Amino acid sequence: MLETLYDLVIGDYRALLGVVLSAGVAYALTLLGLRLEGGLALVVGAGATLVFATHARAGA
Amino acid sequence: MHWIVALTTFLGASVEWIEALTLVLAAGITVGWRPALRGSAYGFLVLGGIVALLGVALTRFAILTTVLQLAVGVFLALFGIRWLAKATLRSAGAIALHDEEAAFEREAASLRALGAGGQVRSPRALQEAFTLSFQGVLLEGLEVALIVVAFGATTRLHSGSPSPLWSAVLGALSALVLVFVAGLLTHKPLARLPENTLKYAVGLMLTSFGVFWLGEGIGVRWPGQDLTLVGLVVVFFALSRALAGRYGTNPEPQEASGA
Repeated sequence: MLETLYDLVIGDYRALLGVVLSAGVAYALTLLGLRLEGGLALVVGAGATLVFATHARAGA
Repeated sequence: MHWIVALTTFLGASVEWIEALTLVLAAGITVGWRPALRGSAYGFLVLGGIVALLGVALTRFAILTTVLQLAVGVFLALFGIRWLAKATLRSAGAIALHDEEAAFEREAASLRALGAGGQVRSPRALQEAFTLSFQGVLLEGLEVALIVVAFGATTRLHSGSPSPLWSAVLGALSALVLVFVAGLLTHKPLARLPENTLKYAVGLMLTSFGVFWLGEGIGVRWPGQDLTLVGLVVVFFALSRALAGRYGTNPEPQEASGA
């Protein structure tokens, strides 16, 4: 059951890492006052995670 | 009413309920409707309990709004990216489409192997039919429940406007009624619906919502406020089409696993 929940919520920890990392970069940018660039970092990070997830699934 | 939330949940729930319906139909037609419907009823009961428990916990307890935005954003983005990646590869032909008729036949054959073919059903077949329906409704519905709860959690972020929770619940329930009524009337899996297109659309919407709310939680400035969502959908759609082009040349489609 726990494994099922993990699969449902997280799925792949590397994808979680990708989203959290891009959120971290975005947060750092907003702290520097670069709030627009923070949004851009998030979009790029999520895009990169999508590329990774697609590649990983294609190779599975 | 948050129409975009209701639509996203409706489409996402439709995909999951179609898959659950296939399992309930396999159990009901092959073994009997009593264990199939009993299994479904228990599945829905457990699901209702999970939604109520998580919904109350997330909307009532003193969780910082920012933490809530971050958690919901990360969850929706992850969920959306997973659906989008799978739908992209299926649209490119790199992995096989989910075939409801094949899934129905597979489950029905395994039930028949347990002694469900004759007039007298074996106790094991009855038990298996119950379990198949219960697990089908619970596991497929759990994804719907998580999406509903995630949207519901944003209720506190929308003070003064109608709650997104009820829009999400309405979307999920209307999909449930529509899919199950259609399935019980036709007594066949809903194989003709463009399941992958639905999944593609929901993946795009969830990814965009997730990134948007994550940004809100972090404090980024989105140009155009809520209109940014449209831009995000366009960006992720363009990226997924590029990826479909990249992986569309796979000469040997593999059997898809899971939903």
